Amino acid sequence: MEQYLEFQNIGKTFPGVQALKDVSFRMDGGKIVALMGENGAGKSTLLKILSGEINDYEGKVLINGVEHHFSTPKDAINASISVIYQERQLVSQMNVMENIFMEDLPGGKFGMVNMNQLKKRTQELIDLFGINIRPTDTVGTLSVAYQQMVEIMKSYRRDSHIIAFDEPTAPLTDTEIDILFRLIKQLRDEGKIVIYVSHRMNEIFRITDEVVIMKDGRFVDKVATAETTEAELIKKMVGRDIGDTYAGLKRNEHLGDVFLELKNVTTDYVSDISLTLRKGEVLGLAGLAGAGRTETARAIFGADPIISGKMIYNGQEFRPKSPKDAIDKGIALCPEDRKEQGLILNMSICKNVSAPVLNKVSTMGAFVSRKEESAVAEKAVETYAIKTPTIDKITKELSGGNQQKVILGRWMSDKVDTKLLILDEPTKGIDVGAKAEVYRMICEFARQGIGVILISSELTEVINLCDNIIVLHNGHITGELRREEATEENVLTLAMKD
Amino acid sequence: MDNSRGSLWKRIVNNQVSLLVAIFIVLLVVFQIWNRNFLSGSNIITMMNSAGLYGIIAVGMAILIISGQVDLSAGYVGCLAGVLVSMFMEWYKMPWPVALVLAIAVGALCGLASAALVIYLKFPNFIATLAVANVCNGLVYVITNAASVPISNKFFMKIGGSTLGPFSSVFIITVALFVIYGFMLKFTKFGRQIYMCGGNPSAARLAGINSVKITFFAFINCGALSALAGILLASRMGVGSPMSVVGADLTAITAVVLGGIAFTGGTGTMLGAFVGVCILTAFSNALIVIGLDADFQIMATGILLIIALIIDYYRSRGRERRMKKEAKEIALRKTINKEQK
Repeated sequence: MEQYLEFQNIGKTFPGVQALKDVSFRMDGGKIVALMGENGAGKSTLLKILSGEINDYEGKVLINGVEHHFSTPKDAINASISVIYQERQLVSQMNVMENIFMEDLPGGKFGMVNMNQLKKRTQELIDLFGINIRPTDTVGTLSVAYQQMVEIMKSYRRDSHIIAFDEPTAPLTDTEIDILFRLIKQLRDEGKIVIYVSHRMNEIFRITDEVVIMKDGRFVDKVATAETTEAELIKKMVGRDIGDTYAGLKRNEHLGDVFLELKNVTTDYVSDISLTLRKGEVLGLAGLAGAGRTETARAIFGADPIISGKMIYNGQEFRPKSPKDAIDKGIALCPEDRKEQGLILNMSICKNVSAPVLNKVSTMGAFVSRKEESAVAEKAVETYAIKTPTIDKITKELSGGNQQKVILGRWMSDKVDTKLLILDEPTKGIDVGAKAEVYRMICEFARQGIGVILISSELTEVINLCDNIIVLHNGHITGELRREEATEENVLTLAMKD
Repeated sequence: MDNSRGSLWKRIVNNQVSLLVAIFIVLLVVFQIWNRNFLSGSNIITMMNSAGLYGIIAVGMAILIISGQVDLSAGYVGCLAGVLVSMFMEWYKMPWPVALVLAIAVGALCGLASAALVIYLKFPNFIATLAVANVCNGLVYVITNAASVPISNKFFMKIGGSTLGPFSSVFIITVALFVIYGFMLKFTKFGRQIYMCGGNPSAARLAGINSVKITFFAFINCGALSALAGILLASRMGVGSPMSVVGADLTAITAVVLGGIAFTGGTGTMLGAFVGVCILTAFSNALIVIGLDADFQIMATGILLIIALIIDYYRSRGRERRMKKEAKEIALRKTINKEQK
């Protein structure tokens, strides 16, 4: 029987963000269909709807012409859908066969598990896929690739007709990828619908039959892989309306001397990072999620130790041992996850702003002076237009944009002598108006001669705000673009380069 | 604070400490009517001594919980210190100040050990302090052969066993500690950093705060204060007993949580903790005075804690509702503004 899966006018809104809008397309069995798009294009949201994790959406999901609405992941599994995420859904302390038959263990006498049958059926599966593992191996001791195979066997055992892979090759080595691709092709040849989400161009061309391109939550196009090129795909993934958010920005045109230099810096997460930063320069770190942008910033800030390589700061070699070290030298970091790493949510604006400058607002170095502390906070509220009735408002109760401004205010108050400001996804999850204000501030900082490192997944931001862009992939630098060379196509091509 | 508006009633309900004080007063009045002897001089001294004993541990525990940790060894550390101070004086003939300082140092060392296990070996704090508790407990029995060590030094016995006006000495020391530590928490830079460390450790670290230093301090401080509690009890009883303060740690945790210090860290005040100690003491003492069996005390502690947490749950739910309502109003106002434009 010919299988097919169809999305009709799917829409989904998260608070403040339209994640999916009017998405309609069809996928047929016996084909591997790639789902492509930038970060935030809506691929994950679509998969979550398919797997029943998101159940309040607009539009229809049809399987073989019949509408299905999954309220829970279990509903989706029962409708023979499997989504295999990067984070594996396995119990690592249990063995292979228990994991594969987790919710459907073959029964024996007195409600006990029939171990012999369990072993036999697992062995059959393993033989079918030709993988070199034993049913009794503990999953936690297997390599990442084999754990993924176990996941695939689990969905195969459930007789899933629709199997989606979310960036499956990210943790795999080349040989492991070969094994995975063999399995995926086997699934295809059995007539199953295979959805393959990946950022890696060479894989798309190696394994998929069709490519669905998404952009800003919308469906763009579906093309046959054989009839397209890398350049065409990238073009379809970018090129949205930039709007006039960036039009009135006063960029800093006078770059100063180089004051930060990384030479072949390597940490546990990134390798061989070299870059320079001038006073008044906005340097962009671009790349896909997990490319090593945040990790580069953390190394500069002393949050992850530098294993080898040199960091030269203000003409001297400097290797920060802790964030405190870096802060003392005028380096500031606004982390990506405001709520988890930026703010102390149950504390007031005032206390959050004064956190790194407690020394300077305390008398005799020990007693916090309410007067001086409030002065700093009041100034931050005024300068950055933080919307709040009082500086004593708890930061948990502020909107995302205002929370971001509190963190900016923390590092840019006149009590801290910030020379290098690192912004990690500063506009993530905040509304358009607040975004424009953050852009204005970034340009203002640069005009004051502060070196800014901007990490952002929104390509338009990087392109319109940065003087130089460094593109990373898999923990190393794949290229550097000057302001005049920076286009979305160029950045994305480098970001996907292996 | 956002509770500056509204009626007196709302203000009391919304401020945890004033709510607790109100509960405390109601408790006192009710039980006094029930039994006239409840607020008699001798019973008040009894209550003060009992409050003082685990109140001192509660001071250390409050700081520790605010910083995001917990110590289950405090009671056993107290027992160890009580026995050691007696042994140092009686068996090794040390002068009492030396014995006292040494015993407190041992308590601090226990805290240091817990902190090292938690920070460097990444033990969960429950497990680390449970292990230290067992070591201390076993050590006490090994060195004493499970027998109490009587104290003969009359002056030392006065430290914990005298009264000043209507107050017992232990209670005065406890109140003094609450005031000193309360001041430190509220007004000093260090106090602020303790709150940050407990409120969001990774954010605190990225804001340049040395959380390792703070965690070490909180554990060592808790160990030292637990030792002090054990020593003062030995002084009052005139004997170092291996079982003297067993269980005081859990009572202290109950009291401070009752007093509004969140177990998750980062919130609460010393004043709240103090009122928590008072309520817990008065309540369990009152049960005995009105003629219930002593075992009811333990049960009552648990029930009181559940009630306190239920009240807290409803209060925070109310606050969340208010926040949601505010957010809705703001959104509404925004759309109206847009339409007007």
